[in-house]
Amino acid sequence: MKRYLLVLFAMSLLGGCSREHSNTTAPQPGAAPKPVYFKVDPSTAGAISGTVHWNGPRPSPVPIDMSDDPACVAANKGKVYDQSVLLGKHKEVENAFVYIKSGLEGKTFAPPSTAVTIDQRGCWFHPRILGVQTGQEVDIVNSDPVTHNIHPMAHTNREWNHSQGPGDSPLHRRFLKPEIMIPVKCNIHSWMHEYIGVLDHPYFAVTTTDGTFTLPNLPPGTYTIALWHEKLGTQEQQVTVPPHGSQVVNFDLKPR
Amino acid sequence: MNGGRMLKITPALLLLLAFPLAGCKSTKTNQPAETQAPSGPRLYVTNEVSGDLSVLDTKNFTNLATIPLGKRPRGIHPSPDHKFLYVALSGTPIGGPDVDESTLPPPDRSADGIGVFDVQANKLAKIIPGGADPENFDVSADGKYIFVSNEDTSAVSQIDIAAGKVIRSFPVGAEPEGVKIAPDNKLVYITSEETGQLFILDPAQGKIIGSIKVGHRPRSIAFMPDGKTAYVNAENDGDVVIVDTVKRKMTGTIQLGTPGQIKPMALLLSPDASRLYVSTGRGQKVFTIDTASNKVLDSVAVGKRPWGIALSHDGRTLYTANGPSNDVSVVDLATNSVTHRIKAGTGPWGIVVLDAPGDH
Repeated sequence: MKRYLLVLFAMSLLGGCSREHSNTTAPQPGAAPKPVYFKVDPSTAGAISGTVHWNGPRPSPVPIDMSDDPACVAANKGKVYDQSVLLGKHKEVENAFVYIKSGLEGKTFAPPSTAVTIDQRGCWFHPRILGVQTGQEVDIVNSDPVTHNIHPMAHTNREWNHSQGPGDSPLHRRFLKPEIMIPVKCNIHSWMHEYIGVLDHPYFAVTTTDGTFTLPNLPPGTYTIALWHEKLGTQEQQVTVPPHGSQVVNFDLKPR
Repeated sequence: MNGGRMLKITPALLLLLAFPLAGCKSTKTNQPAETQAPSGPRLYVTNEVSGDLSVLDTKNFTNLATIPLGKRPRGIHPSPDHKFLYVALSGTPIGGPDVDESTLPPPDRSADGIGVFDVQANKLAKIIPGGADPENFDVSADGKYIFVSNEDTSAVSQIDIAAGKVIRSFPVGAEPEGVKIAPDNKLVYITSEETGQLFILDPAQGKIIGSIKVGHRPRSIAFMPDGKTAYVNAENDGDVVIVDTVKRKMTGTIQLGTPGQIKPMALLLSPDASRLYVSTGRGQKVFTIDTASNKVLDSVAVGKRPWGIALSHDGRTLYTANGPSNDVSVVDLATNSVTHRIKAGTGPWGIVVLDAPGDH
């Protein structure tokens, strides 16, 4: 009997105190199954490309007053203007966010293994418009000699804000839910703005200086392609991408 | 039955069986904690990470007791009669620059509240509502009300302590934190970290009657005895802002160091108001400012991320709650040097000095 008691004692030593810190590797009931990621068939993949134009009056440049922070003034030679509307020679729209809004339902895409970076440089956010995939790492760095306080004002994802001094280590963050768009501001420098588009697939793009975009490697299908611009509005179009086909979708934005 | 193999209960066996149970006793309970005989003033320190209160002896520099409080205890203030300590408790998970918020669980609003700690009994008596995510607060001079900042809802709430409920809330700027009742006990000042403003609440009128721009990320307020001058920290500017409360405007700043490296946090005036002490978070120092000249007199490195600070009754010793150091530094202000460090819980945040219950 004493032997049994000793066994009981040993079991209680091993198990009695460790229940709250169980380190078992056995699958937990109700644990999410490992996702099966969709693979695009390269032999049938297509693409959508296009250009975004503004069909309204060219807005007057709005000057930015950085005098609150001399280091920001020093980082920007001469007069500084608001960056929210950037138009090309023929009013091509830069910094429009174009993405597949629907048509990919039922497909799960692996998050990229590479991080994207938000750089606070010259008292601006770079890039101003950023697209990321859910679960993709976002690295936030401060290249300035001043403190910034990045503040993504998310609604679907969790809102947060952190100050980041000169030379501070990068912040590493992820957004887990699709959200169009997350406004980002600097709590210290009122003119600093950025917008983040979070999608659960890789089919998004930001228009370049010539107003163009491309969504490559699309599986064939019928899609709603959407456009978002922080000042000039939103638009949607339907498009069918045939196997191995390329479609052109242009957007013409007009004053509302 | 084999009588020869029957269990014989011996003292040794009982001890053997009891041992594993005793080994599990680190699980905290809400029973009154036993403390040593009173030997002088005590420090009461909220530990944000371990969710408890450390009771420290200022004579022998020892940890007398650790008492569970709840989730994320931060702001701590005594009742005017020193019979109770009030502690802000929050179910909002702890973040920070090194924590990806997407990995955190959702806030547990059921854990929000103001803990009422009975000093004599040395135990948490009850938790009363304190609005969402209470962080810091002040207690009215008559001991009837608590005014508390609710960071998640951008509001300041008034709590009727006896009734144990929030009786009204007032919207203020985003991320309110510091709350201080002016010396005349009429107006309540609240900092908004995000908007960089000091909001002024007049409870008699039942409204916010004004705001003052003060700098970036203000968190704490200290009033000169006449109430005409207030000091407010500006964490992101590395300075302390001087505010003329009569004219309701900022009149100057006292630079402590490079913004981003020196992060002013808590402010505390000496009993005669001739000195202002400022903890600086990651700056690891406490600065001393001469309030007559508004010049920095000295500084002392105390530990990692000093946050809450408190003074001995005679004003000769300063105590700092050092978050990542998990301890409290004892600073002799005559020599401006750390003389002792006392182990606390995990993540010390707020700190209060009170006479031991037997010494009242």
